[in-house]
Amino acid sequence: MKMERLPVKKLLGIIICGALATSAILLLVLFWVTGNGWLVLYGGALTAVLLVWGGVFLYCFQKKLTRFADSLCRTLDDMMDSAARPGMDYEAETLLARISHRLERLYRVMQQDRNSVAKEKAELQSLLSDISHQTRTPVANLKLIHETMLTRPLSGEQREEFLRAAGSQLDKLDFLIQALVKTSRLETGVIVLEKKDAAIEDTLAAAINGILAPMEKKNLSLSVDCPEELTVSHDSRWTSEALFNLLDNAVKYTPPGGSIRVTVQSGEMYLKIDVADTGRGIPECEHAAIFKRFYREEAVHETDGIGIGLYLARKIVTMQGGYMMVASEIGKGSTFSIFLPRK
Amino acid sequence: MRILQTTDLKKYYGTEPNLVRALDGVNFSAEEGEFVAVVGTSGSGKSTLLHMMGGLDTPTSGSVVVRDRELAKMSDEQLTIFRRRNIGFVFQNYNLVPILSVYENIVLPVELDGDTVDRRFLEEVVEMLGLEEKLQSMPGALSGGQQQRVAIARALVSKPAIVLADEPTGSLDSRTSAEVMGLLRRTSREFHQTLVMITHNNEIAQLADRIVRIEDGRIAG
Repeated sequence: MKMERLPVKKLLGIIICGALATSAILLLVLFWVTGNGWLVLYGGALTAVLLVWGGVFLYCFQKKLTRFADSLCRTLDDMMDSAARPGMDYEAETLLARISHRLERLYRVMQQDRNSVAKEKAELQSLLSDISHQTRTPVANLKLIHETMLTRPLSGEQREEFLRAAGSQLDKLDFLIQALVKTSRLETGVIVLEKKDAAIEDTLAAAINGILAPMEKKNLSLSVDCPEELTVSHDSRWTSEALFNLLDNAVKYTPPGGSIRVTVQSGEMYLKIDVADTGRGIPECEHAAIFKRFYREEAVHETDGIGIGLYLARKIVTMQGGYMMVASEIGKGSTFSIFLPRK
Repeated sequence: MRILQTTDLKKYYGTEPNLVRALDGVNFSAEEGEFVAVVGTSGSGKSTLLHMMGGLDTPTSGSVVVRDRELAKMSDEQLTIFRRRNIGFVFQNYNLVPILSVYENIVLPVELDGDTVDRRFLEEVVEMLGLEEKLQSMPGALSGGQQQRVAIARALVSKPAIVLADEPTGSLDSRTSAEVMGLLRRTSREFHQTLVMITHNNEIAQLADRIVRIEDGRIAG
């Protein structure tokens, strides 16, 4: 039978019986050897005295245990009310102090979790308002174009011009909605990234495929340095999305004739993927801000974009236990680094 | 929820006219679960600030409150116990005991506390820091980055609420620095810890949730 399952009363009974039996046997042996009746009597008295003291000890111990349990319960009650932290001598070497310390820590962690849930909710609300804000402009433009075409007589040439404008607004809207759907899916935890051992080369190739055409257009050169058959546990599809966003930025912000360099290096704990361009560079004071959702640097407002690529990339990398860094020099270019844990 | 707060913290060394104001009225706070980087050049007072927050040094005036308790009001014994239970330190030069194995180094603070080592937690920390195969090695046989990872494991294993890191990557090359920082950030997230890191390296600091700059013993901007 297991110790925990044994009722205390039964345990006590067994111990008392055991003690009595042992002393009886010992006394009998003693009597048999010496044949002295008084000795047995003394022995019996000694056993009785020991049993009484044992009882006293048990009683005191139980009292102490009860008090300990009481004060533990009080601490817990105080925490539930969460009105005030229970006043205790935390810095003592007692058992209670050690437990209360842990309890308070638990209390704080729970409080923090509660706060982060509230924060997430606020985040979601701001995402919603961002979405409505971002989609408003192209929709308003489309409406205007549509109305003009309905109400005004237009020549064939004008008509084509209007349709072209509507097309570009539709493209913008399409891109925006796609990005937003991705963001909100990641944000709300609808998507769980599936990490699997896969060659990083293939993931990288998938990302590079997406930028070949615009790169050609801008006459940019690309060099890739990736060890062959290097595998790392990662979600290939989403990681490729993150890499594409970095590459896409590199293409966007590098003047014609520039170059983009992708380097994959394997460290002891992390796999590092650098995407370096020879673009305009980012001032250091902006390094933290560029990862924010819908953030766009003042200086690049004329370049197409909605400020979601880096935010998404970081989200994807962080969800896989990795992180991102940026190094940049004005006028010389920027290097974005993705670190993915190797296991 | 605020976990750490310094109020008008001052630390002066020497007397006039050679008075050195290492800290000159610093009001700094950190929220529960936050990762704050304190950035400053050498001599800006950033290390002094960290020592004050860890209760390793006493301020000339002002107060340091950690988890609602003022450090200056505690007796030495109370402070020792408080520090052991609440604060984990990571130093620039690792401070590992060279004659103990990696495993012994990691569990040392817990064993000094007379506590039993939480095996499962230890395994989790060791795995996350990639030290599984190094447990029986001696610190001298490890690279700088590995030694710092051992120091991080040691700081984490007693499950402190706050980890104070003083130039944790100061002795490492930039590539290893990035790795150590990534791990430090990840573990503090995972184990609900507040991380305050002192550094002079802006590039490293960008991994923090918030950057605080310190200049001439004062918080700048």
